[in-house]
Amino acid sequence: MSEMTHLERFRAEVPRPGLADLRDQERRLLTAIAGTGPDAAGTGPSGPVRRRGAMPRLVAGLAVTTVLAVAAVIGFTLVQERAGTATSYANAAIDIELRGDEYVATIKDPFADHALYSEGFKALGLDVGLQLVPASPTRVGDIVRYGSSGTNGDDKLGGGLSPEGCAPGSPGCALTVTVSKGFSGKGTVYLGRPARPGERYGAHAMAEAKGEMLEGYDPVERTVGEVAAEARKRGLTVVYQIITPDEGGDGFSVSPDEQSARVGDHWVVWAAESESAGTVRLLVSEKRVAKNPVYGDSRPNAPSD
Amino acid sequence: MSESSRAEDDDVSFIERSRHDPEAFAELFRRYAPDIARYVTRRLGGHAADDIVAETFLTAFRQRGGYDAARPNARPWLYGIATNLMRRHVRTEVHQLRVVERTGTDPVLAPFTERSNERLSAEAAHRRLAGALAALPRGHRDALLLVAWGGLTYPEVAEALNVRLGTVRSRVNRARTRLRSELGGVNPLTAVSEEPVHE
Repeated sequence: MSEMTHLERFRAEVPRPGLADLRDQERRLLTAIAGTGPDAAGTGPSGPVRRRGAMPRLVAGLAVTTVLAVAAVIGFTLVQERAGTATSYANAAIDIELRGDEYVATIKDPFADHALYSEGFKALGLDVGLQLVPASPTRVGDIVRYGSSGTNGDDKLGGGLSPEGCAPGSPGCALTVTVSKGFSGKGTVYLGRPARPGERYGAHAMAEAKGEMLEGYDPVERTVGEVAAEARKRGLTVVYQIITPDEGGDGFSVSPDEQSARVGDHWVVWAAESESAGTVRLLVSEKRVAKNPVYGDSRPNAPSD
Repeated sequence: MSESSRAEDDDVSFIERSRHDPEAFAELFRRYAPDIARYVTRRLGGHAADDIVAETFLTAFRQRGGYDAARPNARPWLYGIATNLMRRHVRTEVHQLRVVERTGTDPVLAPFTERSNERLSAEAAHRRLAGALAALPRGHRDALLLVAWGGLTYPEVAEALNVRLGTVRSRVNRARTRLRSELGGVNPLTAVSEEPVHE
């Protein structure tokens, strides 16, 4: 038996899933598609993931609360269309109303106790949890993670900013979550919200992406000295994550024990991520290897210039 | 619509269309997600695969603007994205292969089988194969498994991994040779060149 036959037998033990087994993954894609306007298609490898007009470099997260607090109500209201059928709900944190085939939840207070959001959905018979995750400016309004169980093909969850394309923090711009009418399963949405000053982001974003702190500068594969100088020029703080490229240059690992090493100016920056407002995290190693251990051969959305 | 031309059914036509009508992109998921899910699951297990499959298509969707319209078939592109995303899990893969090698039980298969006793004594060859796969340099393993499990041709692997065709050939050949020698029986020297060896 040839080695290729052995390989085939090794693989044969894992069944090929059907599309029905991949509903969660499909829904994540459909959610992303739904969050994209008709003219928001990527225009090039360096195009933004989502368009939402001019984006302030740093979002004053608390502004959202201030604006929305005006609309906040004390306690909650349930509006019933027919006896026993609630179609809308409001408390201090969230407003939910049925519009056509879906419930639209408007987040009035992105810093509220998450239980207040669930309470709203529960009052309308929906088992939906909402977790707001501090995110860098370009990821506010993105669904950063997502989970569901017991759902059927008609159940849909979505999220974004409303009005679509608005700048987080500007008046009238709110985070929203949509849940299809009759949503039958259990779902959890992790939605990017503006971060508080100094708060660590819970969603990955490349620091050189449009709208992020190193926009217009490509830090990848430069030396620490170079990138740190650029960061200083921009008034940014730098933190390091020391990575160990795997032999052969493919992939890497991070050892918590090795994080205290002193990073030298000659070290190599393999990736830069937004850590918190005003701070970038550089993934670095002392030795330069032939292939970028973080991105390999295909770096997503690398700046084209 | 029976007379829709062949070209309209190409992957690239859905990608192009999705620039104006994003929903057209969902067709790519329907076409390729099951195969890619199986590929990633075999390599990393179902847990990591769930995320990687979703991320593969999200990444592809975001990058669709940069898709090369000269390539009608999106399969290499999608496998390339998946392979790239799997890099962060290289230790998981090697660890699982080592478990198969050492114990004969396959952590990847836990969700699919209850016949663990049967499996324990099964396939000594699998254990050697797993050990050999674990020992391959990552780039060689990627190239080999894209051919063996992804069903890609050598030029498609080159496209997926963004390396030269000659590199793919040499990586796959060396990987196969290594496997053959671990599985026993064949003189690795003969296998390398696939030419007669003169003493």
